[in-house]
Amino acid sequence: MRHWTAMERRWRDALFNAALPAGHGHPGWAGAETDAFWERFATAAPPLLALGLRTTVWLFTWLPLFTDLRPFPSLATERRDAWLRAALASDQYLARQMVETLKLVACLGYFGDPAVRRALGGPSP
Amino acid sequence: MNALKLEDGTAIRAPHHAECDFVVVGSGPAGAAAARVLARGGARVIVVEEGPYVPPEHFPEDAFGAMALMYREMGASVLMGRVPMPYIQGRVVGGTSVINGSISWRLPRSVYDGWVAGDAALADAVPWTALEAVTDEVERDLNIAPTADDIAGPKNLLMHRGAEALGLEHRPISRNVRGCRGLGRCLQGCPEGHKLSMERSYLVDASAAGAVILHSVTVTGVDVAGERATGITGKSAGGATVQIRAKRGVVLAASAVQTPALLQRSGIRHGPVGQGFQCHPGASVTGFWKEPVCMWTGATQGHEVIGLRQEGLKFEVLGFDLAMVASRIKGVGSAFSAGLERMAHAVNWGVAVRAAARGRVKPGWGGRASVTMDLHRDDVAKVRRGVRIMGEMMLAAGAQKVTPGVHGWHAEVADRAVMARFEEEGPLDGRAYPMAVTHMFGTCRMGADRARSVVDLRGAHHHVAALHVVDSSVFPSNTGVNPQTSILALSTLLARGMAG
Repeated sequence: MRHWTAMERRWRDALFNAALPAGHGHPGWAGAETDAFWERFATAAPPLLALGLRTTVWLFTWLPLFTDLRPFPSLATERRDAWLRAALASDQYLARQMVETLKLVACLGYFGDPAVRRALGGPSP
Repeated sequence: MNALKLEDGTAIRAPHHAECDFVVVGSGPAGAAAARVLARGGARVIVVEEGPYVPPEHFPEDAFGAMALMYREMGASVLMGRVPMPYIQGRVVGGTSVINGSISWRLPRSVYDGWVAGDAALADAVPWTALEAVTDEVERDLNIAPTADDIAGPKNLLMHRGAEALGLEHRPISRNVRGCRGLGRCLQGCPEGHKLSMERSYLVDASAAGAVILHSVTVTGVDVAGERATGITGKSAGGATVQIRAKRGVVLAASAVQTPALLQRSGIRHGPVGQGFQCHPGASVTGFWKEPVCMWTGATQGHEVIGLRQEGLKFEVLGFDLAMVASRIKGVGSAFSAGLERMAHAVNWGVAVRAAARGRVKPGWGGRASVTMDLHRDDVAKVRRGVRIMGEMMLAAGAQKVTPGVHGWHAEVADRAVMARFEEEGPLDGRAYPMAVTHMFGTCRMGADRARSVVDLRGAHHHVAALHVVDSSVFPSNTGVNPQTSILALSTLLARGMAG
């Protein structure tokens, strides 16, 4: 259960790309080297975090069916952005926490890439 | 050459038996201090640590690397309740001292007096003068001194400016470092070994006196025969059973979360074990300055505001790796991406609250500990007050804007008058705040009354002979300040009693 299926990886990548898009002098999630991060995450993440992230990926992939009649990966870029913003602003605590978890995991993976660290001004490993 | 006498549990692949006088469970400040005293007293000591030994040159630079390698549950342990809050513990030789901000505080006299008011016998068993004398020793041993301006970096100096503007008492944080160059990497472990964390100080002393540090071994139970602790059973990272017989005693120093969970898992459930959990919940605020501050540089945590400590509020500058700084930039998607461009201009300050709420620790599934607690309304009010003060301090110190991060209120504030209204307008629902927990206490409290405490005033278990607890589990309450120094002092005192 710790590893992602190919289908789940596509859903996950769509969410991470939307949460952390390129621009403003940095490459965005899609432009970062994150394979090593996911390998390590699979063994290091505690079950609650791993389960929480997977649940978030599943829910956020399919919940837009109710509002947009299509799953998250099929939404236009602007609509994905708006959908995540709405979830973060939601009055539902759980929805907000899911976005925060997504962001935190994305940041942990993103800043493990030396190129990203250089681009955003930090010391490189 | 490594000055630690290490034994690596990853290499233990067949049943392993050892014998000693004292087995100490946990290699953080409490365990290291106890091991040092006991070994120097001539006892054969084995310190058992669940995490690995990581030399300074292998401390990862990035947050995820450090969390995966040295943090319990990758730093994602969660205290459950109406407001779930993450808490962080080290899982490495040296314990949390390896990955904390090195903040050192003496036990406040007012806290001690509160303990004595609750149990008058404590004044004789742990006299204030003795505690003070041991604290002096700790401060000398660990070179505890205020953070110097030349390594503080801009983020720390900004808090100085903000506190002055608000007329709040403040000071450079005293830290256990020697030769610190302000790399800002305390939370990933100092790569230059300048932090005098336990594996660079007390455990070295303990090893010099003969103590062995057996790491990468998880203690699964305290062994008891005829109402006497006889040793521990554990499992090595190599997959083998480990049994250590301790002729004189078992010393638990695994933290206020792990120690009570281990006791209960071992069937030692006498008294209020696991009850009375207290902590310091807190929240942080981000401010943005016109000039770059690069909060990942300079002393990790080098300045604090102490003027409201009697109210139960203490403010600290926070210092993080890039990943954690970024995660605190508000928004998601395109707004978040744009915010990252201003990351170098961001500063995080945090408030730690001396919460009145008490919770509980129980054994959880998969060998984990389960911590539950619900904040009181007054605790959340303190958090709210802390957020207001931090926001005002930042704006007074020249921040262009602050992002309080409180759901249902302004996302950004640039006007100090608006920030000043937060204490009236802000929510009292804890779930509106991005909160985390530091410093945990009270789950095996010490006392003379066997019904109201787990260990006596010497740290000895009331019901099981040769079983001692020396970590912050024994503190009767939270302290309102960073507890590492008081843990070291109290553990040293209790261990001297055992050695004597």
